[in-house]
Amino acid sequence: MVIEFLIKLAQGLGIGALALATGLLFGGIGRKIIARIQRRYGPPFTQNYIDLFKLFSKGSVSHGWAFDLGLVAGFAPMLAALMFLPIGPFTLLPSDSSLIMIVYLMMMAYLGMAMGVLASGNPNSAIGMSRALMLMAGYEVPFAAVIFSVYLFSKTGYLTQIVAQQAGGFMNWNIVKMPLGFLAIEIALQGMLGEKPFDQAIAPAEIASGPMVELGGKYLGFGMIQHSVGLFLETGIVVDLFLGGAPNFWIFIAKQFVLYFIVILVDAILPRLRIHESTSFFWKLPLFLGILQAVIVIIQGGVLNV
Amino acid sequence: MNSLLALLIIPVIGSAAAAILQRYRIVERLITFLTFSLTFLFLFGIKTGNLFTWHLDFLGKNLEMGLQITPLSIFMLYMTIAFGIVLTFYNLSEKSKMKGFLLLLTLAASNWIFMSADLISFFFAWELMGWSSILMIFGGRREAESRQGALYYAMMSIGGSYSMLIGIFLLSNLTGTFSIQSNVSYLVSILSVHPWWVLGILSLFFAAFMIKSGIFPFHTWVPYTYGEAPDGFVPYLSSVMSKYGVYGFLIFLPLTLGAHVPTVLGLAWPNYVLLWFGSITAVVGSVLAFMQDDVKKLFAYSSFSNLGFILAAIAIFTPIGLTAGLFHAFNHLLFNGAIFITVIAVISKVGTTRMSEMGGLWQKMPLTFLTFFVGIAAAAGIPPFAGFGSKWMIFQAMISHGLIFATILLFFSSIASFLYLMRAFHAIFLGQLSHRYDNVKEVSAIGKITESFLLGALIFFGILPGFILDPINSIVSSFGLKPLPTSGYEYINGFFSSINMVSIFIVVIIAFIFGFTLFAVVAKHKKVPQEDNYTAGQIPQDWNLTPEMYQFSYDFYEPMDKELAPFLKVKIDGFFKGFGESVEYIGGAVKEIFTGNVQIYTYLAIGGLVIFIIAGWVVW
Repeated sequence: MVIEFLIKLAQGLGIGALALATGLLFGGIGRKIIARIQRRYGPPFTQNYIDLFKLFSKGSVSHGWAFDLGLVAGFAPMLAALMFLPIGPFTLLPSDSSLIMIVYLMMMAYLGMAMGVLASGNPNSAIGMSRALMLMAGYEVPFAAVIFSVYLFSKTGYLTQIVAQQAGGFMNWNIVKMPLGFLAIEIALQGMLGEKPFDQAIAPAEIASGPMVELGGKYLGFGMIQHSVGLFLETGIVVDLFLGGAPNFWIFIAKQFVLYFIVILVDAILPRLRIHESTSFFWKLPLFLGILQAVIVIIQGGVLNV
Repeated sequence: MNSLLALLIIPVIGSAAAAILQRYRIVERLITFLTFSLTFLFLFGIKTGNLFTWHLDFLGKNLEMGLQITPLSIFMLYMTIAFGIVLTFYNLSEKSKMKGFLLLLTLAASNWIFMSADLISFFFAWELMGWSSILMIFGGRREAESRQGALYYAMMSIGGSYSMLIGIFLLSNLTGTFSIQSNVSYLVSILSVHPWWVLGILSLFFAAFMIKSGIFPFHTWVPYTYGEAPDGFVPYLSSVMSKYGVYGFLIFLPLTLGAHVPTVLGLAWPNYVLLWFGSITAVVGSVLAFMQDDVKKLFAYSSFSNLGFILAAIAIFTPIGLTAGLFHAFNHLLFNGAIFITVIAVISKVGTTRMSEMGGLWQKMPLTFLTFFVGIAAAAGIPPFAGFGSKWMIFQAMISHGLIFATILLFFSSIASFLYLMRAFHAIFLGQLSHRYDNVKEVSAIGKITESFLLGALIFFGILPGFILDPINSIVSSFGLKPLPTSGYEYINGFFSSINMVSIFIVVIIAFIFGFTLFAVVAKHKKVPQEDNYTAGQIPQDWNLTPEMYQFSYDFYEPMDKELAPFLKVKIDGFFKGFGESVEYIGGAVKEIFTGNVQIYTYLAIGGLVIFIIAGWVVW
């Protein structure tokens, strides 16, 4: 029993490390790609690792225990959510891999992060947080529509089972069966990751990096690992939902990268929208696509009749 | 003494004692608390199926009146009285002008509502509850406004009562009895023959319940009344009294179970309509909430928005829908109670209800801050706190019927609730602390005990939901439905996935331990005061910038106003105001007749007599 627990614990930490390493790598490659599109040389793709190491070794200032608690609470639920995500063939806790659980644990992370940065008392972070929340009111709605259609289509809420149902080749993937839903979730992903045109919350040259304005040293480091793990988690969910999971880690990460690559390309060429424009954008086209997908699924006989 | 009668008599005796001793505030509060506790003790003596009947000779008719106990009434009684104990315990140290004897009268009425077996008792109890709570609203923080709030509440309540009274008389005329059970089964028997008749009678009842719960379009009184009620009473108003409507709905909702009525997406169409009322209420409440600056009003909107969730769930009336609705009713009682109790604790310390005048209070009131935090996390449906399970079950109940539009609306409401909760959290507790509040202290020991208890309850019922789901299952089977499978106290079961909350809780705790370890081992930090902020090289003190000016919380979601403006043009409130004005106008016109001139009265009398004679001649 104890040995089993310790093995799970070690595996959990391993998954955390893998997610962090992958997320940081994606971030580094993303920086490189954007630099090349803008005809710069750009930082090396390992730059994010160097940054993180530097941040964790520098001294920093704190605004009190709510600030500390918030930053930790912004990271810990992300790590917890990771334990329920099927990564390739491997799921640490398959019996609890409920999709809604993962989504709400991610929300807990946002809540914690918001608490931390708002406790700093800088108005820039409050403005950034208000924008982040308004954006969330936008992208979560089409995201939910898509999740509900997947529920009705697969008749299960376990990610492991949703992945299992897509086994056996490309034609069984949900992207083929629910293309509109995939489109909607891909647009929502752009907002979730806070990339242009939906980067109003960070808005570097406008509100001094918004929520991150008071973060320095290890606090910024915690923000960075939260973002990296979140990147891994969000792309991972879409891979599991629509791209049929993966037979091994490498293919899983490759599929995640394809999603992130699209996000980065869009980010590189589009300017920032204003916040109310982007919120209402999510309520129009992506929500329409999501609802259309759900209606199609229901017409195909998705209702459980209970 | 019969336990059922004791539940009515003890609060009345306590109320009399509290009324006599109300001059001594602490004695009065103590009596209120002890009466609640004593009533709770008598609750252990009652069981499902207990009956008490008596006969009333009225106008030559022998009416059978009675009290009865169903699983639903036991659930409601435990829930409401237990919350009352917590609240009255907190109120021992609270200083607002709340009248204990009125609260105890409300308790008696509340017990009577949940136990009454006939429509007459139900109506009397409903009225007693209404009037004692209306009187309670007077004596809020702002006198003139609280009178307005009480009047608004009184007008809506009276409207609901009339509607219910007409319903009761129509129904008892048809059946010749007042017993709730036989009336409901009569309605079931004629449902397929005269659906419009049944719907008409039902809507008379449902209007009363919708008004009491603040369901759209009767939600308008809620913010006024909650916003102006005495601080010590608001938690009871919002956590307990809004549930009377839910209880009322549950008396009549089983109607459509066995009957053959046309269905929409597998739902009987009256249920479908109710579901939409619930969904719209949820959205209206959340959207209006995030534009509020008055904290009590904000949570008033939040409160009826959650009632919309509950109504949408119970309207589905499948096993999972009913379970979800009742579970959310319990969770709403718990987290709303925690939120409102912390909010009134803050208000009593800072002396204002405007959120833009607060800020940074986490430094002064850490326990209150933590309780509020867990409360809003639960309200937002975040695991592993109470509130996640019920919201998730509501969504499952709706998705499984393919109600995609209503589900999206509810989900949007859930996200919007995240927005207003964060806004309140930020404006009250986070950000810059004003120097005005340098001397603010944490709540008293009594307040600390209450807050810790609520904090513990939010976590306990979050990770062990089975303690609530078990009694709910017996309610579900008492309605003749098949209860959801149970597999231990830690599970939340549904169609799509069953979730083991304890394992989630353990994973989250381990993740937190790891997070704190990482935080402790990496580089050191030093604490700085709140003024030490990044300001792009400027020195705020040079421009006399105070912490209050440096706090961004007024009009937090201003950009959203543009997007929501078209929806805000519809003013339900305006309709009721207009209605009130025209009633006043007609009243004024009628009053013109009574000038005090005897001649005019004589003409009126003669005119009336002539009309009377003509009418008699025509009819016979």
